[in-house]
Amino acid sequence: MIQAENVTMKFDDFVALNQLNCSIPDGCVYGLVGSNGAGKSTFLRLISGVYRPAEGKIEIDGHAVYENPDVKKQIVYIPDELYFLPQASMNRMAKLYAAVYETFSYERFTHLTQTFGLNPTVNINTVSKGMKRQAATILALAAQPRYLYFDETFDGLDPVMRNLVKNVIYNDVVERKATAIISSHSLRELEDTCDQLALLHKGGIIFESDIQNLKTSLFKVQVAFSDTYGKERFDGFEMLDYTQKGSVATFIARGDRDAFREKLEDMRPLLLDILPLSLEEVFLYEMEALGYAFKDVL
Amino acid sequence: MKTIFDRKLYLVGLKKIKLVGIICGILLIVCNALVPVASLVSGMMNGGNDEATLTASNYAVASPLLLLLVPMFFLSMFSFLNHRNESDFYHSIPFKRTCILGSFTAAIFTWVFGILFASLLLNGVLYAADPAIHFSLLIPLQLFAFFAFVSLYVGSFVLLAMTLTGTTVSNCAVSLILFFFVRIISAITIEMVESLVPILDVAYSPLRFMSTRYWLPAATFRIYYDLSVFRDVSLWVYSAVVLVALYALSVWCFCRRKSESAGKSAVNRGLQHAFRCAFTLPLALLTVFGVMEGAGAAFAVVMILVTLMFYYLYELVTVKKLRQTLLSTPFLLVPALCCALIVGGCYLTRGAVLEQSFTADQIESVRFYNHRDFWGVFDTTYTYELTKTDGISVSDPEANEIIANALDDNIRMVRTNDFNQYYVDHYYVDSRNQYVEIQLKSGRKVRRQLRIPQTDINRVEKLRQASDAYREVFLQLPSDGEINSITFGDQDILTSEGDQNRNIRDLWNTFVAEYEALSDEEKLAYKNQYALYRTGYFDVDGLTAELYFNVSGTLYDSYGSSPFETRYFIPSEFERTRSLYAEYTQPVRDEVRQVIQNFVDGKYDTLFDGSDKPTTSFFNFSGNGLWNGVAIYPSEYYENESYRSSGMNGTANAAPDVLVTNAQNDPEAGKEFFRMLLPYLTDTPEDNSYLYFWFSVVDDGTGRHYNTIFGLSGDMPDELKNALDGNWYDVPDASVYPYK
Repeated sequence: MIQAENVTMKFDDFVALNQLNCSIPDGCVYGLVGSNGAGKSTFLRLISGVYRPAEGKIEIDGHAVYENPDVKKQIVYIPDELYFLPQASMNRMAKLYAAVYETFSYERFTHLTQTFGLNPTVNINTVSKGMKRQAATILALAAQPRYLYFDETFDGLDPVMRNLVKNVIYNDVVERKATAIISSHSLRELEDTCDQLALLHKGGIIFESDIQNLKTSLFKVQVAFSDTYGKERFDGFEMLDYTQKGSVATFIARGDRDAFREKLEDMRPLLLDILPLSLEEVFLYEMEALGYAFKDVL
Repeated sequence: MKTIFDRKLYLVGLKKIKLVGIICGILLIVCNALVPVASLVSGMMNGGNDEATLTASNYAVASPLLLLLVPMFFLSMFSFLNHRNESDFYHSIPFKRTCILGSFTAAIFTWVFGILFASLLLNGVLYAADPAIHFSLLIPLQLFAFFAFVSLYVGSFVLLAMTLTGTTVSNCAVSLILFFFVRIISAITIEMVESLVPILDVAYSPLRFMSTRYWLPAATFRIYYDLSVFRDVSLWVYSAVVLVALYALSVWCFCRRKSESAGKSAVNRGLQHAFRCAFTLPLALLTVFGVMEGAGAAFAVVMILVTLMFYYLYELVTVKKLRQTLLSTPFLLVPALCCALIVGGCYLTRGAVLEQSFTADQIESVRFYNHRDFWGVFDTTYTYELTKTDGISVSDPEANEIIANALDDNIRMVRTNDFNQYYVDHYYVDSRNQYVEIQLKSGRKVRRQLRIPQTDINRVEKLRQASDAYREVFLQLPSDGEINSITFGDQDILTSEGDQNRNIRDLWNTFVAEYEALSDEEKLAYKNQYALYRTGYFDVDGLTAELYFNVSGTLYDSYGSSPFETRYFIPSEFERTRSLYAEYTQPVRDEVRQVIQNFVDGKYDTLFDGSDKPTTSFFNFSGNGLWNGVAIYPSEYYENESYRSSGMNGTANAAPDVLVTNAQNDPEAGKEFFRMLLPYLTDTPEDNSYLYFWFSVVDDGTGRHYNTIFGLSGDMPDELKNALDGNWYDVPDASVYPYK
């Protein structure tokens, strides 16, 4: 389990992370979402041991990450800007990874290379950005670490490859009980991949939740009554947003969907429709509930 | 072990710089192999090289190139410190930073040492292919150890620079700053101090370690000529301390370095300011020094502009941002302030030194010591006697009085700026610069460079030489452990019979035995008259210059090594030595005498066989062709310096070859053609006996004829004069080396 406590990271006068706290359980796909400069890459570098936090501590299973090879050998970090040795092929890079990571599997490397249809003898620096991303992903997965950190990994991938990458990551998590942390500035990228999601803003996690909970805990309600009514009719309901046009009221509600439906049906409405929300809509309303304007955050 | 080294990471490092290693390796190995290959080819073309024993100068002459190549390895290996993505990768892998640094550094030096070893090995193999060449395995091993250490030394500067910076340009710039800054600043400071306080001997000041002799890269120029550099403990201790300190600092900086420093000119703004100011400070200081020395306003203006240009240029090149470059303007005050501090320090030093005058009563003893050349790459060489007695002081009221007065005079001269004028007016007349150590009764020691009248110097020296301590040391001859080499004045003639070195060693041992048998007074007389430094040629009591030992070696003290070189002449009193010499040289002299006799008997009518070529049989005897044996100097080359040099260093066959070439080209009838020296005509070596042959070409219309004229100098045996039957000219002014 990755634990960050009161982590602060500064670059000269700029505070990249400020008193950040989070806890990432093992065996999940954890999404980090936030706008540019929110601190996603900084956080990934901190939990991969590239940076030492200015304040606070970062631990994996109770052990500090920075300058701790025993912990770092369980981690592979794929940064936004990839690194390959000059003139290196994937085979050459595989040798480097094998030298660095004891758990590196050539068998898995070969399997993944074939799955992605990449030629391991070609100079990586001559291939497209998307293929470089695939190559980096293959190398990371072949190293078979417990923790995989992907920084903006889906950038530059076409939809087919994006799905393939998501699948292999997901399989890795399921089969090996690995933990994957994926950062992205696009919520849609993470919606169908992550188990948990954290929203970073100005160096802090302002919202963190299980995606399934998020998706089911908020829902949109459209309801109409024959008589004249107002918002007060729904007192006792937990609502995040309420609008009414004539006899039709629309609001976002939080709570148990079935219980909600039952209570509303007891009020004998002319019309009742309970709709699921997209993850983006959930975030929109959750952020607003927390006092953030979502458009400023993402 | 994984804290500082990991085998797999080390192998990764080896592969990482493979390309640089191969290129540098080929470059160095090929360059180093050129000399032995050329020697081998030359030998093959000339029917074999002469027998020779290799010295350090023959080996791997291009090895100093390694000093330029080592930074290439570091720049390539630690390039990840300059690129953010690469930096993140290496900082994220599961190794401690010390382990990354240690493994990669080990990989670098594996390549460097491997290349060095390969080049030395190849040299050895190539030389071994020539049967005429004898080489000792010890020399390449010593050279390997030396250059390996120098590589480590150079690498330490580059590594530290790379840990402090984050771009290739700043890597290089800061490497140069670290490598040279302290030395340049101290050099200018020392020049300032010497200018302001000429009586201070900086060679023994706290700045002594800035002397060139303690700078390892400078020693690379010494190593080929002087392997005793290995015994220069101070050099090695100083260099090792610097090396260890720099590597320790590099490790510390590397471990603390932030990955995001990659791509930045320096790891923080403070250091960027420091590097920029350090880059500029030498120029600023030179400007101030120039003004102090009286350079004009034009110089000052130009230098200030150049300084400003360098200041901004450094920032612009390393940071690549014009705005930031302009924002660095206020920091121009830093080099200005540093200049003020240094100049202020120099004036404070001047004040302090000039305040230090002593009465004779305060002085315990004084001693004259040998001057150390502060900036010279090579050590100053003195005689064994001067080197050995360097530490002997004199404790005498008269000497104390002389030095106390001299110090007062010198301080006064410095204060009134008369010092240099005095130097101009009187230096060659009645005084000289003398380095004096003054031991005070308080326990302090003061070293000064004083201008002292020669008469006073002589008085002090006389007092010093009267002491038992001085005499005990002065009368010693160099011991075997102190001697690096002994040559004999005319050692070539000793070659003809047996092993030259063994003969010289036998002669030396005989000489030492005879010397030791002398009384102290006789030894003193000998040393004062016959133990001399190699300054020019000698004519001591009619003694021929050939009869002396040239003894060189090294003594060591806390300052470092002190090379010595003394000529010990063999006067007639050393009968056993002379007798042994006569025995060793008898075969050659017999040959020479036979040649003379052949001339006298007219057997050399066929000296020229009509084809303008001398008969080879004439030249085919042992002493022939040697510059001070029997030599033939074509007149065209008579004043030709290059020929003279080649003759001096030439082989036995060199002169006839030259002669033949010249004879074929001899253009003018009647012109003096060549002459020859034939020493050693008598059994008594001190005889100054020379026979000259002038051959001239005469064209009388019927063909070319060769006239021979004989000339004699020195005490020629009557029998020879009679045999020549008056057909000779006296050469009264001929010296031992008449071509000079």
